[in-house]
Amino acid sequence: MTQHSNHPPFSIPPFDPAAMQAMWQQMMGQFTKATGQPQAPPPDMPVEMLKQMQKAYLDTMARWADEYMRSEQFLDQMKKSLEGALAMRRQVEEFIRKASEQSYGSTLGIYDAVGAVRDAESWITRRIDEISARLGAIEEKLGVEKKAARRSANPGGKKVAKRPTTKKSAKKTAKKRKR
Amino acid sequence: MSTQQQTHPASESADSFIGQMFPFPTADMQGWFDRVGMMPKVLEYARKARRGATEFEVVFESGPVKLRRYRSDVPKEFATPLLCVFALVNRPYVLDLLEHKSVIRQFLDRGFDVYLIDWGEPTPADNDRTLHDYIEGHLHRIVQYLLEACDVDQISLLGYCMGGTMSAMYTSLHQDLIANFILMAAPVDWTDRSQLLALWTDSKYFDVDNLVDTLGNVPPEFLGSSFRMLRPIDTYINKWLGFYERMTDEKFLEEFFAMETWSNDDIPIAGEVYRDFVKYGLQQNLLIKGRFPLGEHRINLANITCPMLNLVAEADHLVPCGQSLPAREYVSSLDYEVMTVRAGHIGLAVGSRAHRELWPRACEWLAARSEPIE
Repeated sequence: MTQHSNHPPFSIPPFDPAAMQAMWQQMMGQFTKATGQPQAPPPDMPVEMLKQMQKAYLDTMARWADEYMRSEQFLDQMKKSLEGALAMRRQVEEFIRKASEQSYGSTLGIYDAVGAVRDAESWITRRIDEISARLGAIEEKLGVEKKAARRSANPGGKKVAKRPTTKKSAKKTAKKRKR
Repeated sequence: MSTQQQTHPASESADSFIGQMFPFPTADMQGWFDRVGMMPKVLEYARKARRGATEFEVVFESGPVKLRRYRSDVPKEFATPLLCVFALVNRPYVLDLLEHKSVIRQFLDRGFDVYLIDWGEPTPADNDRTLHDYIEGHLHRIVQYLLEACDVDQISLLGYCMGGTMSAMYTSLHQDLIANFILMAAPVDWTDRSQLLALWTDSKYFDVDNLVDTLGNVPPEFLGSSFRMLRPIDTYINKWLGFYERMTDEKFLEEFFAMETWSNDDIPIAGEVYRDFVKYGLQQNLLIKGRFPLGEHRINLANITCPMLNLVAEADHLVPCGQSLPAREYVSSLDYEVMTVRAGHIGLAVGSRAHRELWPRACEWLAARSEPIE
């Protein structure tokens, strides 16, 4: 267990001015070392020089941020914040669930369930469409092959008897003709 | 003298330091006015930023997943189609961001028939979709479609980032269907724990089960902010300083807003996929151990025998070289090549240097190994 593990979730370590000051001094020290500028630059300093200083300053900040985000303190805090946020989310969901249960009786997660079913339904429908399209393409291909086979089996060009029409299909054709 | 008195001069010096290093608008009044004058153009570019540059048609759909076939006037030279697989955490059009920064265009211009998978956005109903569903379900269906539609026995596969890892898994299971495999900034080995993301997802600090059990699909805000926090100074300061510097250049504005549009176009990731990837990949590093579970299979990278090209970005902070280069040790390909470029993770796809130095070579590599149209 680390020394920070006693903080409750969401707690931020108490602000420590001395640590902040030390960090700032260390950062400025690194920055001064990098740029060779122990004091504020003169006002007429060339823009390029200022840009170099800006880069060195930001590089130092980036290095410090990287180091901090690797520290045990940060990682521990990150873990606690995430756990706290997730616990809160669960509590809120539980609260909403209970509240809706009281208001609407046993509609336990009904909206989520309906949403999920609708999504699943649309997915299944699309999948069926996709399969039927593929099946159609296969049937078409097979049909062409059958025709070709029939033609080769019947080189004289004699017409093959049509499939007998059913009552349903006859009705459909009649309707189409009317239109 | 007290400590407080000793530190005062340093703080004052620091304040004036910063004041002069970030001098706008006082230092360059004319430049500042030029930039203010550019604002309507800036807004115009921000508004008209497109999501992808090349025309395509959706030729196949499988649930939320769509397969795009890109159009080109360049006649096709190769019968072997190229299938590009991007990660599940962002939109795939980063591979076709702008006309002059498009990996897709590079391959089209070389005469390839190029396809890209758009994984779509998982809904709450997709919460329990696993990596197995994506790889053995969607990806396999797409490959089967391509084999039939293009009338070929094998295709070439390009996988970027997490899409590369997924493609490696697929290739290891269906090596007979893959002619060539291009791995692009894809992690396969998480032995090196020094990378920040690997550290943050360490099981000691990150309970992936708790996250997925509570949230279901992992929200885009969580993923996006994690990636952005890897380099906070670059993301929140350097980027905007650079923008201020170059905002009078219209070409820069076009590129900047295309990139911004993409990087803020985050999507959620299916909860179970995230669990699989983090737990078995980042935390337990099972892929290189030949024990990564995928449905009833255990992934064995040694099954990969086809020609393989590993594209690595030297300055990649998301997938450092140490996570992608070791692929060589675990696959069985005899024809294996590595190409590197000085770029970041996204720079590999959209960087000027990558498009100048790397992609023409990568296209030639693939051309030499693809079946030409007779």
